[in-house]
Amino acid sequence: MFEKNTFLYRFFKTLCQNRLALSAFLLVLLFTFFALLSFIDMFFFNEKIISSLLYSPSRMSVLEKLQPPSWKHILGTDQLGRDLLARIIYGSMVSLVVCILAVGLSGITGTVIGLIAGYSGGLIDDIVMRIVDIMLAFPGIILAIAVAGFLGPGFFSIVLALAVKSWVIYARLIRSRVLEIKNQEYVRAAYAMGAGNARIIFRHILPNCISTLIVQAAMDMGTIMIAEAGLSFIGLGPQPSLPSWGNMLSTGRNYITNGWWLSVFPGLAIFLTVLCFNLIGDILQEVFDPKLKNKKGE
Amino acid sequence: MKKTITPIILLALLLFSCFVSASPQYGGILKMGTRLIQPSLDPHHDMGFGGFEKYVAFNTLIQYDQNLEFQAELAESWEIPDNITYIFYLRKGVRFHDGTEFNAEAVKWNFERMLSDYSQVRTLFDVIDTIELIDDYTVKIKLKHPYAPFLDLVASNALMVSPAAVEKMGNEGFQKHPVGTGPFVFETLDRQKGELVFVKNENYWRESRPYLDKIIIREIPDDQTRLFALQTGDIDYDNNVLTSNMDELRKTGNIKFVSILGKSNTIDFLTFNCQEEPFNNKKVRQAVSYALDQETIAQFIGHTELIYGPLPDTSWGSNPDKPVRKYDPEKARKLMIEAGYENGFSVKLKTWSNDPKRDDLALIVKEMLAEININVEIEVLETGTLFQQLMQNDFAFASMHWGGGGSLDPNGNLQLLFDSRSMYNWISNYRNIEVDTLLQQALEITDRSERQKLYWKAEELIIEDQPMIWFGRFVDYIAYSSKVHGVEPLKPAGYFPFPDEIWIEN
Repeated sequence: MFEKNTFLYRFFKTLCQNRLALSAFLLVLLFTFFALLSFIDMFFFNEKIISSLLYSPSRMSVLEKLQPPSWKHILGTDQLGRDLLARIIYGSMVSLVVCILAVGLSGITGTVIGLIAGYSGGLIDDIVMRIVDIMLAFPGIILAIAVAGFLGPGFFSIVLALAVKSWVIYARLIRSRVLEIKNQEYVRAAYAMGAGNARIIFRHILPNCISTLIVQAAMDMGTIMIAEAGLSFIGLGPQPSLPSWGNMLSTGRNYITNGWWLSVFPGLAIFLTVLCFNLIGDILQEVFDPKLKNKKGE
Repeated sequence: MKKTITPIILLALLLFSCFVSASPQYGGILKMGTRLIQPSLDPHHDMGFGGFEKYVAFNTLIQYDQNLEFQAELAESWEIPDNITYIFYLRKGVRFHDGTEFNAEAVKWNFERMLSDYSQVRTLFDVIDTIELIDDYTVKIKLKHPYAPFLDLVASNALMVSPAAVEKMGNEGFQKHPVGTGPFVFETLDRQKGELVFVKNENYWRESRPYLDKIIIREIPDDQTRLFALQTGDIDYDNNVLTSNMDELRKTGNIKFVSILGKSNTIDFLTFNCQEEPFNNKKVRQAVSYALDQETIAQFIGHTELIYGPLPDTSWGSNPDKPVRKYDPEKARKLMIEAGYENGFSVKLKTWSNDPKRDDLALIVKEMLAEININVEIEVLETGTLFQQLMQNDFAFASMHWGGGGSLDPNGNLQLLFDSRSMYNWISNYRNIEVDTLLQQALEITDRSERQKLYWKAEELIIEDQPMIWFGRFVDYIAYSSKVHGVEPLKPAGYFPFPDEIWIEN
């Protein structure tokens, strides 16, 4: 597995050389672990794991409402006396799942559309690219608000809203890669040897686009997470019984003068995760494009 | 020697000033902050909540006092010879701000304007059949059918505007330049700056009122900014503060709070669809009521006044000794078993967005009802969508608010909500013929004590049927500088209580 020059080998090598990136990677792993744990806990153990370790994220207590951070509640409690740490851990599930689904959906849609446009060229290319231009002319978040507002608040409508916002970037990126690869000699050779369109696309063009796609996806995770927080903040996110960082932040805003921890900690969680995803994106770019690294090194 | 005397004198002065502050002072400018200056300042055109700027320039024929008794305002006295006839004897020598005289002709003109197509209060006054002038200062109003809360309507909504001013400026012009008989005269309105200025009416019909020289209303849409303006003294009066910031504000001292609810019949509640499964069963509704601990809910949410029925205790339509369903989980479980829902059921609680208190309420209710195996799913909707779904009978359980139908009469909370023929019956789809009869009877009798008996009986029947969960009502506050006095709200419409009585320490 760890042969030299494989992708993973280079990735970990770069990580080990860059301590900042390593810590970012570990932090993302930690959040993913939390998200997975909460997922398993919520659907299979009925919140028993987190209740035994901390508190149930939905446990309310009149006596403990709006408590500042203490040993009992490490990050304090919210206006209903719920433990903030437990809620941030559960919130990671919603935030990460929404991000992964939205990035996945927009990545796949964008790639398919970009491949079609780039490969077929001509009129189809023109039409698709003009649509993309129109979409890009809208500020993404406004588009997402419009879609989420139209579909009504909810888990899947927010995923869809975020995907609508960001598929165009993938479409554009993939199209330009396709145009570049399409005219390279090995592709022409394959064509000359009688390979069909499907074979050329899936065997020769797509594999060469993957690296671009991965880098873009990693970078996008951060943007999408911020957009998700933003939508939740204005009340278009998942329903209130499911904690997400964005709606925790939004609730916290009402208590900013007498409960700073309610907005600071979810905000910090968003900030850290976005930062980590961006750092990982940078590393991936270096791994896939060694030329870039050399340029930086000089 | 001198050194010791000075502090003593200062102290004496300080004490003296404390005593002086107890009696009203004349003069001074009141600077008020508000979320929004209403787009129209014409009281007959689109009455907005919180639009106190619509009230300060005007008077009504009669007005409520703090004990909910009617007192004379522009009408010196009134008579009710039978249950469809109301005669008002007007005060003489009252002049509008533009100098024209207030008389019976003007009253007739005003009621006709309120009944015209232009008016947004038309549906309220639709009950009026004819308006007759008996002499220059006597008006006789005949109703189409008996309607006991008519005086309430006159006190709450019939603001008298100057006919001459409307004719001169037209309706459009009047919306930007209100002219009435009220304690304050419109001076300027600057929409760009968000500033509206009223000055004292020197020829006010009430002697030695108002106290203030001037009211400046500033539009500051952001709640937080308005709060800071209050703390720094840029405004002395904020008509709606966020309750979440109150504890912090209390610590700073020199700011006073008063609930805007006053004697109003505003209530917050959870409503059932009484015609659909599972809440068409009275036992299930009662079980939910027993399962919800309203005291704990109030403690969680904070700033919640408890109510025990469809009317708050301040209303004369509510029996102070009415039967009450207190938190009792055992009884709740028993009723669920009796109703055949031993294993519970799932239900959607529809609530609306952008209100943190309502979000919290839904979450608490979810937790509490889980105790009797009711699985509550929360669905947050826009206000408009929620009302639409309720009207289309597309709900089982919803979070609602009721402003008392804009009136202080118990009819607004009883007949409008629970009469099966009422236009607001969709709120809970409640049907009980006995209640219908009682409420209809109460509309036909003008004597308050007779009506009270009927309302008490109806209230008891409604509480027994439990078509809603009256857990309490959310309190919003007016915050004002401690040098402002005489702030006593009566009802939230207008938020601004009796502008004549407010005074400010110099």
